Amino acid sequence: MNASSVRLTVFLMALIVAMIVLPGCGGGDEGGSSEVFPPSGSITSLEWDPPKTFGDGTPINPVRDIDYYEFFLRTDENFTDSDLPMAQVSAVTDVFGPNGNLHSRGPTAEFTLENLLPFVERGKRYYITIKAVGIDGLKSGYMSPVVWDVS
Amino acid sequence: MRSHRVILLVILFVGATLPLSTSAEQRRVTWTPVSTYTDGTPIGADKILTYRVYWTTDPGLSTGSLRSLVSSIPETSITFDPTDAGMPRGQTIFFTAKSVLNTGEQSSFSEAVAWDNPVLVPSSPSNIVATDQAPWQISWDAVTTYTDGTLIGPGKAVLYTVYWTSDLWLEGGSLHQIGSPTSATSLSFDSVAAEMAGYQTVYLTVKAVLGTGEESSFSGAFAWDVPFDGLIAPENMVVTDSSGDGTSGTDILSWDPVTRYRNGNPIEEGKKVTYDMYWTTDPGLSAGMLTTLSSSVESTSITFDPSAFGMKRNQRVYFTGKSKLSTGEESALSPSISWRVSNSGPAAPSNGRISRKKKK
Repeated sequence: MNASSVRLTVFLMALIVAMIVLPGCGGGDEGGSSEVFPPSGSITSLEWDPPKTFGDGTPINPVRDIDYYEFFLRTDENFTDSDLPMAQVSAVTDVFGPNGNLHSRGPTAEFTLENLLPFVERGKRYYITIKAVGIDGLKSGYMSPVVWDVS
Repeated sequence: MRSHRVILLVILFVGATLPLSTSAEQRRVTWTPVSTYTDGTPIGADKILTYRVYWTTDPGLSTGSLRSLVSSIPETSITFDPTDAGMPRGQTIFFTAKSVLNTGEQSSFSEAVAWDNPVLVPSSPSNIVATDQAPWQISWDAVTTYTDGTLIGPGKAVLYTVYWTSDLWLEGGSLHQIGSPTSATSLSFDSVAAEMAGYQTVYLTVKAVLGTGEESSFSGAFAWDVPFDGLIAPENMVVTDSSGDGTSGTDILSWDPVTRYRNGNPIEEGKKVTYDMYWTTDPGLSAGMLTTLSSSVESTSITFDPSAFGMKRNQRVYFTGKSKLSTGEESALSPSISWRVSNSGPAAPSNGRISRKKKK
């Protein structure tokens, strides 16, 4: 998958999630679907430290050398190479200044887990992990899984 | 003027080659000096006496066949190079001379002296040596002289022809030429292409041949034990990503199975072929730089993790290998394939954690 298609995937995924999750945006099923969650008072995010090296130990520039991150969810910790990613997020985040202008571009190190709510069941425990994908397509291994109790 | 004729009591001698190893071939013809007329009276001191020397292949010294070796010299000898003088090799040359006075009187031709102009052959090549490690090469010292020690002229090309035989006595019928005649003093050869059977002793010999056709005799034989060089090395090596989509950290080195000897014969049933595979950063594949990827594997591919083998990201590396028979014979190293390491993606993200923030 090339970078543009990845970003398209992320965009579409984010759009769908936004339509489902965000009230008043229109286009969502406002008929009380169980897929729609009411807004809560907090945002749950997964944070991580971007890799500092390639697998062989040579230094990596997360902005220049990493293309995107893949997100994986399971109800156990046994992630395998055959698992398919639930989402992809660009490895580079635009940082805007107070005036709304682009301030800088930095490495992505956070992902709002509410984006994944359409794919999970409330009250269940999930394990979430990510992989970094280099601009040459080579992937990292899994990050150590993190417990996500979906409330 | 005296009425008597000038007598030429010339007696010619043709000398042997002057033993000057640093010179071209030189021969000398000498004669006794003339001091009297035919009637025995001395030639006066006021007369100047010179000599004319001729050569011919005609024993009858017919006038038309005479060629001048020197036209007018006071000395009683002259050196000459038979080749420069145009004397045909392998023939009898007849020399004759005249004495000439400055007053015009001259003698008749002297009695002819015969001399066999030898055929000069180059010396045999010497100091034959063959390497005992591949690539096989035979070398020898340059031939610069004829067998009589005279220098081969700079205008003469010397070519060398290399032969092998299993006959210590170098019988002509058993000689097999290796390669083409060369002006170099060494020759690389392929024992299989030369049809030498492995594990036998062969005798290598070299002959020098001049551009004019003269050949030396064979050099002394160099006994050489033919190594086993008959097994094909792994061919058509390729490196592919093990996942097939460029995303894996491991790669596959594969090659064609070896099923025959270099001479085309199939490997005998019951003999098992295994492979040793190596990588190196040295394009010359020097033995000391080779790192083993796998040893004695029976399959024709191996999966390897470049990082685990110490290959650095983006490094240019070379793969090579050799095939081995269960009976111990080994091929030479295969030609290398070049590969640029793209061995690992990013390290995994770390320190994953869930955070909850108040909505703004």
